[in-house]
Amino acid sequence: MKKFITKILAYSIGIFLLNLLIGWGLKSMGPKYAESEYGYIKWNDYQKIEADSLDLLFIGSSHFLSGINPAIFDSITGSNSFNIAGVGLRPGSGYIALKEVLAKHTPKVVVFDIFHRTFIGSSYNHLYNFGYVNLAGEKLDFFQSEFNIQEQARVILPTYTYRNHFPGARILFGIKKKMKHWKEETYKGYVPHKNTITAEELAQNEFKNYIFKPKAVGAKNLDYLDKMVKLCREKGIQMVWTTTPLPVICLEDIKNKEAIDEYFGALAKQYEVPYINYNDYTLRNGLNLVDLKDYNDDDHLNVLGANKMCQDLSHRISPYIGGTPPLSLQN
Amino acid sequence: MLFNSIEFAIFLPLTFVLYWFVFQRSLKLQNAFVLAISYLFYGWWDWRFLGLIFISSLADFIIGPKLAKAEKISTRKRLLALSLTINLGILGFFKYFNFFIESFVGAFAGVGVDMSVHTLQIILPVGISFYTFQTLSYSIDIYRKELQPIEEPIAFFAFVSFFPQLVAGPIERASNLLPQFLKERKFEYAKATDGLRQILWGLFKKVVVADNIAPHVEVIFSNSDTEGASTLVLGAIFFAFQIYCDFSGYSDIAIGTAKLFGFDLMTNFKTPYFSRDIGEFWRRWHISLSTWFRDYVYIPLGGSRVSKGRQIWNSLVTFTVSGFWHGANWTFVVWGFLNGLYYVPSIILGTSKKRGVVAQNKWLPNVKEVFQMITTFVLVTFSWIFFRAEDVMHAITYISNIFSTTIFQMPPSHRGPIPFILILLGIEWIQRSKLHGLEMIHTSRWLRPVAYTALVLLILLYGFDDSESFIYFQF
Repeated sequence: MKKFITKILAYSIGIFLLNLLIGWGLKSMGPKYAESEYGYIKWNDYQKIEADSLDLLFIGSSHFLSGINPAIFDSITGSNSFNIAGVGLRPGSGYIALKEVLAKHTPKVVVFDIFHRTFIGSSYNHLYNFGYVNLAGEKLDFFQSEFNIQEQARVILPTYTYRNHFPGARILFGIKKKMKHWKEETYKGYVPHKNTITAEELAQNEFKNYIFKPKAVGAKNLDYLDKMVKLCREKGIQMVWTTTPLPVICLEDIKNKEAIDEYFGALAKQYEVPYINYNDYTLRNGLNLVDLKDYNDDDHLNVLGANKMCQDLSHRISPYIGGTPPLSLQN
Repeated sequence: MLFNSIEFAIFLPLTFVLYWFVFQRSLKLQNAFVLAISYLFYGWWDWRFLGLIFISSLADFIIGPKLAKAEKISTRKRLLALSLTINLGILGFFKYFNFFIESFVGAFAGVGVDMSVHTLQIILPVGISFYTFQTLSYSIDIYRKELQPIEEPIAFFAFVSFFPQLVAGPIERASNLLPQFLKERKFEYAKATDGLRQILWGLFKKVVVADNIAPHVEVIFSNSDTEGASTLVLGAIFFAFQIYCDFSGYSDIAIGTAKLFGFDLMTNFKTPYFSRDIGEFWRRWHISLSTWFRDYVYIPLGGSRVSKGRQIWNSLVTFTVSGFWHGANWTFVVWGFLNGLYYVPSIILGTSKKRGVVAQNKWLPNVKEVFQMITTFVLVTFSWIFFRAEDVMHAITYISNIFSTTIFQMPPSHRGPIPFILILLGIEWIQRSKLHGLEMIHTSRWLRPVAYTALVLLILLYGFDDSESFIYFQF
């Protein structure tokens, strides 16, 4: 038995070290041959930004990924902005992304995406942030408290996690196709979505009969939100929350949309954080969004929709950066 | 809990250590521990169905000794019928109830009689066909006076629910597995290391070969109306390898896991795609089920010690029932019947006999053997189309679409899994006389770790992204 255990342990350690070595090599190759890896790409783009140069930082889910175009904010507010959004980003992942950015920059404003679903449920997607940040102490805490078992396994198996970076071989085996033009299409973390949703697709939207249950909001998510607010306050950074607009049909299909507005509205009031909720009908109407024109799918804006929202949002947050809002928004 | 899941990767070493270091003090403790972890393993899916295993085990545990004591043949028959009714009743209700209702209504509708009968929303408990057959073999063997009943309840319950083979076999015979629960088990280094090798080989077959083929098969079978003929042929071949690697991969992991706990399960697959005729194929494919049907259906029907006509009938019945065992769908019935038909010529010609491994002590097979292997593979693959299709009409359409001029065109896509299949075939050919692909006892001590490392890296680099369930769980 002793011989068996010793051999197994020795072999497992050897394999584990080899996996770390190969994983490190794969990671440094970058995601040239991967799909759906915008989470990694944004960090590659982020590393190119000069230290202490950011004025405006966006942290959010895929709603920000498709909806926040830093180019529009840069041109309207005259600031230097970056969008650090990622698919399914929850407050925990947002917090470590914020910590990472604040280690190098002190933006004037941090805009955080309030999408109710990222506060509920067990769908995790932290890995793309975890793999690219350097917060030694907090990383371990984050790993232990927030990761589900699959994500933890991925962290200790980088060969598996970064295998899509393996040039050529995965294409040879027909598993993944080379990602097309991602370098040209993404900009400072923004990923333009070019599809337009059809009426049939919209009729089958994922929000049909959805009921928001405040009790289902995870305590850990609220803890990390609290940490984010406090961190910004500590550094003298203005935090702003916003919710990207959903198609009208989806809003109408949610059984208790008002409960969502009330819950996060109250939270914003409690923290005294300005909250720009584009799912509020009055605010949303000002954007002149058309469901069958401005949406990529049932909850993501396409390029046209993103342009409309970014123009409005940039005017609304420009006072916090030092600019003046247009008269139409001064009320 | 799937064998290819993170949960199992934690469960296995943990239970292994507890089994050999904490519960090794007495046989009863070890058996109780095996029973507890087996129920935990099964309950991980749906704890509600633990009750079914318990009822099935309890029924046979009580009936067994009564069967052994009973002297009157009528009493013995009644007790056996009771065991069969309980076990097959549970299986019939959960697996076949809706099938019979729907077929009944369909048959009446065919003659113009509309019947309004409601089907029930029944969830099929994982592995029910496997453990039911296992307990049945216990009662039948006692009835035949080939086995003595067991008096130790923990050992018996652990035998029925033994976690490595609980949900997808091998379907163990009481005469093989039960005695192993009654004798002291000591750790054997050679057995444990071979178990680990077999687990690794099974994982490779499942997550690298089967799971990478699965999406291609899904696309081709879902679009069989529009795909070209050569792609449809490729789809059928892919499915042949998918189901083989999925199921034999599971069996390898099950057998390997059992070895880690000191048990020997029966071999379930012996490189079946190198078979030279259908008879040989069925002696190499899902051996635990084939031999179960041979011993408990084919032989009681008269087996081969009857006239040729009767033998053909027995064979067709056995294959068809075996098809029906796989699921409540006419596709499985047709698949079983088709394999029965394939077997008929060997009965007529009297050529069905046991053979050793192909090209024994040679590097390559001769031309005749190559032709025989290809013919057998083509026949088997043809029948897999029925097995995989949604319904019989889908299978017929699929097959009819193969017979078109596009058969001579190269498939435009779906070539991705081919390298994995070639790697598999290469290793299986070299290891065809061994019990599994990594049985390397006499290989150089330097080559072995290289082979293990290569497989681990292949699993990490090419194992399919999403953990796919095993196909045979549905049966």
